[in-house]
Amino acid sequence: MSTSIFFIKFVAKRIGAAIAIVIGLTAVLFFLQSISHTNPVHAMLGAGATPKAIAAEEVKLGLNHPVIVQYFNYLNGLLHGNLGMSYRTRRPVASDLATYLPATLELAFYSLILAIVLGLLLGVLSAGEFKGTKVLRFVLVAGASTPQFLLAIGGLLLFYGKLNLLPATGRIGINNPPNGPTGFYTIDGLLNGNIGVTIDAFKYLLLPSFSVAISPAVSIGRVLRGSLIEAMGQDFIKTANSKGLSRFRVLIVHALRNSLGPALSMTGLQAGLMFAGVVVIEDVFAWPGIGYYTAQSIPSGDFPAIAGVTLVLGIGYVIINTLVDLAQIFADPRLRHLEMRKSSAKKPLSNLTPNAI
Amino acid sequence: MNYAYVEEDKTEDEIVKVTGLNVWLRRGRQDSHILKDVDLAIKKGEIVALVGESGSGKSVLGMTLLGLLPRSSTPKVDGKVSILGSEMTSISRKELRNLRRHSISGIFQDPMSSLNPSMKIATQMKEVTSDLERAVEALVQVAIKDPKSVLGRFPFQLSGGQRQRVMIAMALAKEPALIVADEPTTALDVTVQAQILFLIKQLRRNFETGFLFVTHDLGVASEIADSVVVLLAGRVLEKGPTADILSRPAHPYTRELISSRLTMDQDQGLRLRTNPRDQVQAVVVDGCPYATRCENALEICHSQFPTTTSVGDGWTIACHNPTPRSVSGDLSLEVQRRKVEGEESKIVVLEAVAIEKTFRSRESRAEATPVLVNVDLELHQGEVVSLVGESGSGKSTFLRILAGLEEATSGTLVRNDNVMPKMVFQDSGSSLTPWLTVRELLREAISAKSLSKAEIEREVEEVAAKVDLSTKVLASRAASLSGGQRQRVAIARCVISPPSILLCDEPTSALDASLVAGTLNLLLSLSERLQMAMVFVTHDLAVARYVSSRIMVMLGGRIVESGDSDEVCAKPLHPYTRMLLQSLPGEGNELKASIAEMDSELTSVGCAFSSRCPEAMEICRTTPPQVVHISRQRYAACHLLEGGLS
Repeated sequence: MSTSIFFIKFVAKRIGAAIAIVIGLTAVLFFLQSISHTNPVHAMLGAGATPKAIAAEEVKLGLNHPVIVQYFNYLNGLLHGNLGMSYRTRRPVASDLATYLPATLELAFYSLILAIVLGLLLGVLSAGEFKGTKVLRFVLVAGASTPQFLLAIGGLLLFYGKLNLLPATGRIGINNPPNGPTGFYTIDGLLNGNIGVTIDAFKYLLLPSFSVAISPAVSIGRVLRGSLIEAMGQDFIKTANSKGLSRFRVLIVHALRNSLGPALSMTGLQAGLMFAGVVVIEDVFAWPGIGYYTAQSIPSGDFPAIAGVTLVLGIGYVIINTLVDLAQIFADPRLRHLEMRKSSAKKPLSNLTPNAI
Repeated sequence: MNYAYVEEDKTEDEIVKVTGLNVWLRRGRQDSHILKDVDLAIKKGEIVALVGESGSGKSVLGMTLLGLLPRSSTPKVDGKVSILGSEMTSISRKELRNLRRHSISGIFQDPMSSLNPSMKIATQMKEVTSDLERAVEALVQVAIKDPKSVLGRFPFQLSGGQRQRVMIAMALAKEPALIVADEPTTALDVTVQAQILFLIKQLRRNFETGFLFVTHDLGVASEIADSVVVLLAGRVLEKGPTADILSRPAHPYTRELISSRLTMDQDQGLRLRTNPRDQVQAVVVDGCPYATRCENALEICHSQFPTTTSVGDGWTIACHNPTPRSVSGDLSLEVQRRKVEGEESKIVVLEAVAIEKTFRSRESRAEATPVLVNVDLELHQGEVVSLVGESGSGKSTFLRILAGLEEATSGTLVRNDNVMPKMVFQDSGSSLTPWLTVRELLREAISAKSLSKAEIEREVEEVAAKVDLSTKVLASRAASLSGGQRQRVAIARCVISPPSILLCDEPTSALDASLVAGTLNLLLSLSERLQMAMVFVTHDLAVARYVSSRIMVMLGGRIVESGDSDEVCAKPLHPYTRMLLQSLPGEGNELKASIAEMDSELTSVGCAFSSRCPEAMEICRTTPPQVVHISRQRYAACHLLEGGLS
């Protein structure tokens, strides 16, 4: 059927757009680098290098070519996974990132999941006027109004300092953690049959991911609550109720799916902001991720490292938002068919019904 | 004890028994008393029509029976509502759910929004009956031709009529004892409405289902109901067998409802009857809610609601002073002669020739949907022309092109002056900015920029006088106006700098019957006084016939028939026009609907009506018919006419 062709086309289009954005990002990064005052040759060789060594290094780094050619060389390098050499660590940025990135990804991943779960809970419970919602709401809103680092420090003081329930800093307490396939300790532990690693890793994850997730959770929850309440006032909810369905089914099956759109958009936005949050939180918890790496790269003017981190975060942001776009299409069949027909693309969604004339 | 036993015996067939029902809902910050001492009974297989204007509480009563009063308005219910022996007021949530699951159903007004848009029909049907066979059977019962394929579709892939039939199928799949139908045909075309009404009558006969049929349209009620309950401001004013009430209404309010209905035999030379006290908006606390508008009102009417008295078998009214007189003579309503002049001599203010409009799809250039095909219109000064047709016929698109809101793909449009036509919209209430005062709204509608402040004020006062708005209204904000006042303000905005052409897009279809008359009178008198030509888009032939001198019937983007309004209604040339006339509710037509008609879509090749036309020939399905002229303005496009006119 034409449906599958449409999907392939649609997905291809979105991926194409994502690639265009990433290429734009590389251009900005590259030209920022080329107009910055750091001279990579000096950074690599130090102040006392001979002119001959400098010239040799320039040829080696390709700096003798015109800027455009340098840019294409840079792009070509990117394609081969070459992000340049870090001035500070003297190692390829790519291999530095390979060391630090999994830790950040793991933290961001669980933070995002936590944010979505809490946001869903908050949204659904408060829209459904279930008991105890007010308490949850108070706790979450209070949490979201507190600066992240304060929340993190407060959590540390309480759960580590007073109660001694959770560990303070680092990613894991076990020596020689698995060097496993995914780089996520929680998953590698399971894959290697060492459940202790997974449990320990979760203990370390708990405080930082909560600190990161609470504020996005409240944003998602609020948007969801709004659209749920709107959906609950619709006629088809009246229909569902008149069928004698349970309150839970009406809320989850009928109302929720029709109100996911705005919450999904919000999730995409928050996921982008979350990377910024992760960088701060990593510093508080001495989490060995790219936030920690960036924090060290900035004072030493390590441009390739900063550019590498920026590029990776940018790609992450683009991927998440592309996924959100796709998820919205799957959540709302009207959108799917609207995209398919395109004939009515000029009209907004609410105009889908033919005008009652 | 004996008494109770007798009571029990009499009510054996009763599925619904409401006694002394009072409902309060929280509106704004106050509890308002929506239903007052309502008594009602529905027997097995009986269709009870609940009739009233907007705000009368008729929907609230329907929702009370379903136990679906919105929780956000913290409803308070007092009195007895028993359905199949269960007390709705004291029933537990679980029992209520069980009742809804097995014995009661609802059908709601807007089929566009009452099905879950993101769920396939099959999934939604399964919530009522887990048995797929039963679901298919139910769809067949509502005359869905291809139930298997409909089950696999989403609601937005169905037409309005199909959706409403799916709704009915869902309601009846569990074979309920009671179905509450809340204005189920209001949002549908007349032809589809006729089908749905026919269907409901048939279902009632087959399943002995009781219906509470909520409607504002007495014509619909007369078609379908066994008995009628007339509600005003939460009070039952009259209740009894349909035939009795419609032929000999006992309550003055019912009489007004009936006489304000626009029918096909309305004399076009006369102004419509309006109740001169209609604009009085008084809050009635204890008295009869109709007292402020009633011709027969006594002193006591304002202070005390009358007790219910019987006027016939199963027929009761609540009135202190019904003074039964004949229907036509007793209401000394304002009746004026309306001028009808010859239009031929006048100047042409607008000429549209061969207007075409296609909506091109973005995806492929080749695939374009024609919305208007070769539409002509010649409009004279002061003339009123109606465009009649069902949704999707292109009549609104044509009007928007005339208004300059949309551009035609091809064709020419000539106006004889430079003043843009003004437009009156269907929902005038929402076309006014709620926080502006009427004076501000009128001021900004003045197009001439060179007026001084005093002149502007004078213009505003003048136009307010023309449309009968008091100075008190000028100072109030749009949000606080009544429906009729809003409509007047909307019209005033259009005529404050009088255009030579006024375009009206269904200006009366959202109004109560009593307001329709006033609005039509106003529009017609303005058109006469200001020599404005009007193009009047409506789906209601009765309105079109009264309002206009010429009717153009549109179908599938073409004008299929045009002519003098009387002639079109009396001697229609096109089978489609005949069908429209036969579908009018309350005109004594025997509603017929054939299964074959129901699911047929408009066809794009050949005549758009060919799939529904009882007289369709082979050629109708392949070639669009040519226009056959009898005279310049009298023509039709039908293959049956091409052989010569009989």
